[in-house]
Amino acid sequence: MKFNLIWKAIFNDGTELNQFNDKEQNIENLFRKVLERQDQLKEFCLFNIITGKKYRVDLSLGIISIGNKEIEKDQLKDKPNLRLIYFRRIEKEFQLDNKEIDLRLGGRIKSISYFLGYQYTENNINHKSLIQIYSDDQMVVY
Amino acid sequence: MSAIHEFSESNGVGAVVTDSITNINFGSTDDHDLVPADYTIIAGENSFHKCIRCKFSSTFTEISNMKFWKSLGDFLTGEAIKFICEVAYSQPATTPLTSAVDIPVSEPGSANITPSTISAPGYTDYIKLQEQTTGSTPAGNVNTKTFTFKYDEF
Repeated sequence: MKFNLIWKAIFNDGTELNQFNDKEQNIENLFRKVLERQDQLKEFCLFNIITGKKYRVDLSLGIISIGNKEIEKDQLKDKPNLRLIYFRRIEKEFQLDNKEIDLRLGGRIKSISYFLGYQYTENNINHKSLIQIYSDDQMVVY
Repeated sequence: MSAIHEFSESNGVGAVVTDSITNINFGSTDDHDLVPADYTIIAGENSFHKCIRCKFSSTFTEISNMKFWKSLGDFLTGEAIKFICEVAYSQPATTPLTSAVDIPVSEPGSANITPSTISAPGYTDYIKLQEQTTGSTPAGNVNTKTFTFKYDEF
């Protein structure tokens, strides 16, 4: 399964980590590698390889943007430690009778959406800024 | 590259595991990949339990927030599908599925498949299902049901 939206992580020292090392999406860097360096993470981007749209979260400034347009910006006074939020949500359907949708019962993928944002804790309260992006670039802001 | 998800079924006294099953049809025997016409359920009786698990393979960091529900397909009179997710395997039987509840018919508000996270290739806990009927359930085929399985992955 090829993803429509793939990620890139940019760290404080200028190094970058791409989700895939090849266009065919055969050689993948697991997201675990980003989590292991989360305290050094500066930016995290998602690229829609079909439409070319770019989604970016800047963890140093607390900004979520699409292309050059900022859509979320918290008025952060003391620059709390922002933690990245990223995951994919997969929804699969299958029928319960002898007309299974797939040969192997994994189900048909109904949708994949991608969640991108950040969270931080201030005065013991957790704050989240989050967007949900679908493969066709439809988006929900939370 | 991502997690590969498929269903697995366990049968018999010793939990004989069959991966990559092709259906989870209910019936009057404890076996996987049933043809419903061969194992019909008599009105007023229950199907054998289905003990299935989700199997995740390939490469991923974490799977979480797993939800399972019936999204389409109306029940006939007296028909119900019971559901429970639990760690322990028990040999499928036609006795009412212990501690089970009606399967959700819309997306649950929170995860209903355990464990809460899977961070290495493997299986979920057992998703136990059972078709239950009453004497008033009409003869013939029941309606096709569509199930949805939803999870988060990174």
